[in-house]
Amino acid sequence: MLNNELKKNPFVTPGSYFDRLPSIIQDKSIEHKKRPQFGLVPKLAFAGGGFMTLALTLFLAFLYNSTPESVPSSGPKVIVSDEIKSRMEEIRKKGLIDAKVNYLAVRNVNQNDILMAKSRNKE
Amino acid sequence: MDKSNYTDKELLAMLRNPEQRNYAFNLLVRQYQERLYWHIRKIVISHDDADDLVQNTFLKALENFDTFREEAQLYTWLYRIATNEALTLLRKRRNRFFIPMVDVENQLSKTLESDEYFDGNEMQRKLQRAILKLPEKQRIVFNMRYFDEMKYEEISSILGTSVGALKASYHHAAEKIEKYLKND
Repeated sequence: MLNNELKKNPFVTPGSYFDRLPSIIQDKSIEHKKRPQFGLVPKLAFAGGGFMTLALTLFLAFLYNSTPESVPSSGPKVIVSDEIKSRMEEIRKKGLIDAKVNYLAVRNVNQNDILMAKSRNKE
Repeated sequence: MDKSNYTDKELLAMLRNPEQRNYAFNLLVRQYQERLYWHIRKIVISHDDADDLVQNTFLKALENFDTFREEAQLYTWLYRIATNEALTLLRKRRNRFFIPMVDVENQLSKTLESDEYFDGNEMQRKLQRAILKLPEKQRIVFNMRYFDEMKYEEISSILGTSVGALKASYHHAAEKIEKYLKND
């Protein structure tokens, strides 16, 4: 099926295209040469501007992250009811200070205690 | 102007001479414009795109003559620039809107259907549609071998692919096209 008849180029160009093309290209090549090439100083200025923008952005991000309000608490949020606080105080006084115990005691706060603490805080 | 007066070697010598450069460049354009234009046109289909790209090809060549290594033939080098320009355009279009490859080829098919600069019969149009269904590189190999009747060695030096791989590629392309022409 791929015979010689199909080899004929089916595409055409606008009239006299190849007569005009060399002068179009010649004109463009002259324009191209006249175009100011970026020298070293403008390049440095451009690069410098970009660097400053980046530095400023990073600085602002650092400032934002440094503000106390923006620092998320790393530990789990636990609402400790007054009862549990006093229990913890008791434990401390008795010399049974143990961070893990305190943590576990706090962790064992159940939902009811949390709700109670919340309602007391509102009062 | 008699295009055949100068060999590539003579053209290059004139191009390297600042006083003769413009004249030599004009000769170069006249000598290679049609071959390069048609090569590009078959890849991008649209005359307007091919027009832009052939101009870019010559301008790039002018900028880079100093880096041209004379071990390669001048027209091989020009063909390579032209091929890269065409493929770059297709890739830019593909990436600009994150269009998957198949849609760019569909766009080219649509261009083919509505192209005012297409003068072929229905069978030729069908052939072009079949060619557009080939993978990009295979399409280029097919065009260079079938329409331009280039030797595999020439195609190899332009595309940087081995002769064996090119023969296989052309063979597969021809099979696919024949199948499409029979079934469509």
